[in-house]
Amino acid sequence: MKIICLVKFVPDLEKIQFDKKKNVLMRENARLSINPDDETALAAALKLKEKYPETVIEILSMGPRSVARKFQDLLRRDVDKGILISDPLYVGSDTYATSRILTAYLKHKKVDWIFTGTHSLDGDTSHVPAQIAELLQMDHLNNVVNFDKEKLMEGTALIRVDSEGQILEFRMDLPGILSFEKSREFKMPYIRYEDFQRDVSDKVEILTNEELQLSEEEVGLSGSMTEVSRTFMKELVNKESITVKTDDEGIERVYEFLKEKDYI
Amino acid sequence: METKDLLKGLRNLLNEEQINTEEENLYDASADRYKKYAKVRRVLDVPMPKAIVYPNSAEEVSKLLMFCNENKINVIPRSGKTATEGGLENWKENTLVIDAKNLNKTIKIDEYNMQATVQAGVVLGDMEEELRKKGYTTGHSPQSKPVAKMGGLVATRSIGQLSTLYGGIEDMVVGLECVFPDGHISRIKNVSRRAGGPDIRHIVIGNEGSLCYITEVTVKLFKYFPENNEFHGFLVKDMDSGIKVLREVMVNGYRPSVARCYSEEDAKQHFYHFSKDHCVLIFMAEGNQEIAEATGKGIEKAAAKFQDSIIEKVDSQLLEEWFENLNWSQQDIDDEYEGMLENDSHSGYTTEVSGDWETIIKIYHNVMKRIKEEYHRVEDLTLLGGHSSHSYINGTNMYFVYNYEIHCAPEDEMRVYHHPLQRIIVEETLKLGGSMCHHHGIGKFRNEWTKNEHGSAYYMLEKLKETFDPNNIMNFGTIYPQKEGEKYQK
Repeated sequence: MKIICLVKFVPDLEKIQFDKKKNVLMRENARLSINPDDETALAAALKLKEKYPETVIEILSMGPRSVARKFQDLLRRDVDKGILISDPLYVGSDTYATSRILTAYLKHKKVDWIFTGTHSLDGDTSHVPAQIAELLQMDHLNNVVNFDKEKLMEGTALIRVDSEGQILEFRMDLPGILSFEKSREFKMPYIRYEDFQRDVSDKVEILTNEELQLSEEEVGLSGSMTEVSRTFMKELVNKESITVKTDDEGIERVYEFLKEKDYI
Repeated sequence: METKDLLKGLRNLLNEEQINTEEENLYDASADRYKKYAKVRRVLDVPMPKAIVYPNSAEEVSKLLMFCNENKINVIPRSGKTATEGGLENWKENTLVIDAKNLNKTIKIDEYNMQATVQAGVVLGDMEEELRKKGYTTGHSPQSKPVAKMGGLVATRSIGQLSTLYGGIEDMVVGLECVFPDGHISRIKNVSRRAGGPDIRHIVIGNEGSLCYITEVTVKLFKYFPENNEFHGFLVKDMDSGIKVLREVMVNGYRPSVARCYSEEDAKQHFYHFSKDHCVLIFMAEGNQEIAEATGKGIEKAAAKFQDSIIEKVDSQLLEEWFENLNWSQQDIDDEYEGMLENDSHSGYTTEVSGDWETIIKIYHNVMKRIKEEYHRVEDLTLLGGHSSHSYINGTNMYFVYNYEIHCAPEDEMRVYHHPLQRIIVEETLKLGGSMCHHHGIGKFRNEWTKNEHGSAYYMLEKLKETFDPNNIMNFGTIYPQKEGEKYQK
């Protein structure tokens, strides 16, 4: 059984900078961490491997080379291989161009399941998994919360999906794509002390366009179908500050304020 | 000694209700806030004590210590439970925790002689509240004030946020009562000053329960003038300039109660609403009106001398608000524990060191540089900074603060994160002649460097242990390095 997990490293949204000229996020200097939904997907794969050790897990990510250390931390769990796609040509790719790039790699691989997250913190469009499914002609389910491990290993999975608050169960045959939503059910295992400084560089492969052989028109800004017509940074406005004390009057004032703003 | 024999022995000395063997309480008594994350995740690697006992008098403490001394039972003295350096962590299978809960009486508030005597288990916050009603203060105000108890504060050589005016606890203690492992009760009398040989108070103050058990303390009182408090704050261009202003204030004889300089990163977490990514320098002048005003003028004069480094003044109202919300309560501690259960994170760690004016800034820069260059998980750090918060005529402290994303198992957290960072801070401090432990005590996790900290004077420290605790039953592993305890440190 081979599972490829698509993971994305997302920037700290509080510190992210935006390139106003190009209308793209500046990812190079931002503090990055694994997208929570993708983390759940990888955790689900690792949970499966815990029960069925013969499972092979590969992670696939696209992003700047600065994620390499974070990427290696994922490999210090029980991940077998990591592919990082990184090329300056790909900067500015929208979800469609990104899906095309990831598919350029995936289409040559024999894979039973592709696990990924439903949403990403920085984009939140949920386009990529569905677009890859379309390009690879695979079945796809969004908002996965759980699955029957035994059946999934047998090739026909029973998948539980969160559908607007209701849990629905679907049957799906491999190969397929499962997009997970963040859940406590699957928690990423910790890296053990002994593994923290383990060299995992032999498990990492960095691919560029030289290997994927896409034309310049297919990737980056020129390959993107999305055109951002206008963006704006939210301006912070100085508001009047009121200081209250932690007495009955102060508490009452805060209560009234929250009530007025519909927080309570 | 078998547990049943130990408990039988305790029952001969105390009433049943003075002996606690509840499993949950024993687990809690296994470690202090040092291993807070592992503790809350239930993965502590240390043994649980056999019992917690609550003596009602110094005489009962004496009997307990004699019993433990005869039977080689390790004793952890406890009062307040706010230790942060492993001083309350247990490293022995046969351990008794002696808690000062029942030693909770205020013995005398002597307004004319400006001193107050309390038992070891009196909560500082309660005492302070009582004193303030009468127009007095102890002048001692650590962040743990609402929870910390007087015995623990004296035992750990505690310091408060107003120390630059009032001093550390060692400047406040007039006299005390303590009990040694052989059962001897010593009372050090309350006098304003004397030349009766070496000042034996200092054998007890800061012993961290490794020599004796403190049962009673007498501290000085000060008149309380909150109405005269003045707050002065500045954004400064860097730590070097901020420390220079602090020095200028101190060497000209002013004693603000609060005198602090925060690095950019540290300032951002405390003063996010006004620091604007700069270092923050803050002062509080207090005392009677004339002194508070004179101190305020001295602060402004010092800032004016270094005006090229001052970016802007801070609204004093903002500082007053910050000051009023500085202490943490039991609720804050409980909330942090809840947070650690829910998330792979906590509120961070600190390591506090000190040095003279010339050295402290070198220590600060060396530590920052080394951590950024050498620490193998540097990308996990979410905060790395520091502040000076206690100043003296000849120097100041540096409180290094750091927090990080935790990517390891809770039981590995210390060795992956805190210990390598602490090691860099301690090594750089000792290398330049500073002290590795400004006010938290050595506890159990800096004892590796106790000899280095004291150098040739370690001889004196060692002799104290040999003399007062020859059977090594007092708080095994605290202050004094122990081979047997190393397995819990690595």
